[in-house]
Amino acid sequence: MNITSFEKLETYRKLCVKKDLIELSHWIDTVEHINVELDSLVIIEKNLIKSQSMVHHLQGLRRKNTLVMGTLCQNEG
Amino acid sequence: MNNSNTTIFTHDNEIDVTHKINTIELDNWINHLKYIKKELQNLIGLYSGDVKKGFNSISKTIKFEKKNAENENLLSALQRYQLSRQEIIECEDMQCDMVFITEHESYRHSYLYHLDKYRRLKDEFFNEIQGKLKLPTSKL
Repeated sequence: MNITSFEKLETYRKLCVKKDLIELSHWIDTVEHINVELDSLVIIEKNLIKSQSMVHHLQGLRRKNTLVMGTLCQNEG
Repeated sequence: MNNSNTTIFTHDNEIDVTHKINTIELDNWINHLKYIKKELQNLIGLYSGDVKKGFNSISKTIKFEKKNAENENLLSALQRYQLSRQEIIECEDMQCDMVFITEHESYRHSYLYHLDKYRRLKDEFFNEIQGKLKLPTSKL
């Protein structure tokens, strides 16, 4: 592999990493937003729906969401 | 490049990889907008049901319906763009590939802008609901 094609490949690799990091930050934003939305859904459940199975479902979703967030943040580092 | 094929091979060049990544990303955007469509229908339904009592329901329903129309427009545009991507296989030079790559970035901008506006509207809805619901809870 000559120097020019190596440089070209390296530039492309850097661009890909940059693009992936931008996408990753959007995923983190989305997961953060889901967490805020879950807070609102918990209040609606407490006041309107009042279902124990829904409480468990929302708790399960929050746990999964936290795990996804952990994985994404680990990937970001 | 076969548009339906999104598997990345070691012999793919950088342009092939970019097109494949963009195809996967576009599928995700379309699926997300389809989900938002369902969610908006539920929210519009909520305001036409019992929940509307005591809420500024007319203005919110109009906002949701407007957002629904915008969502539909963007979804149709992305689906048309998805079809047009079948022509990538006919690209013979870098200039042609760049047209698709630039178009993709422009759709990314539209998608993210739409998503931001939709989230703001949904936050507004949840804040309104929470404002109405928190008071009875504190009495308990």
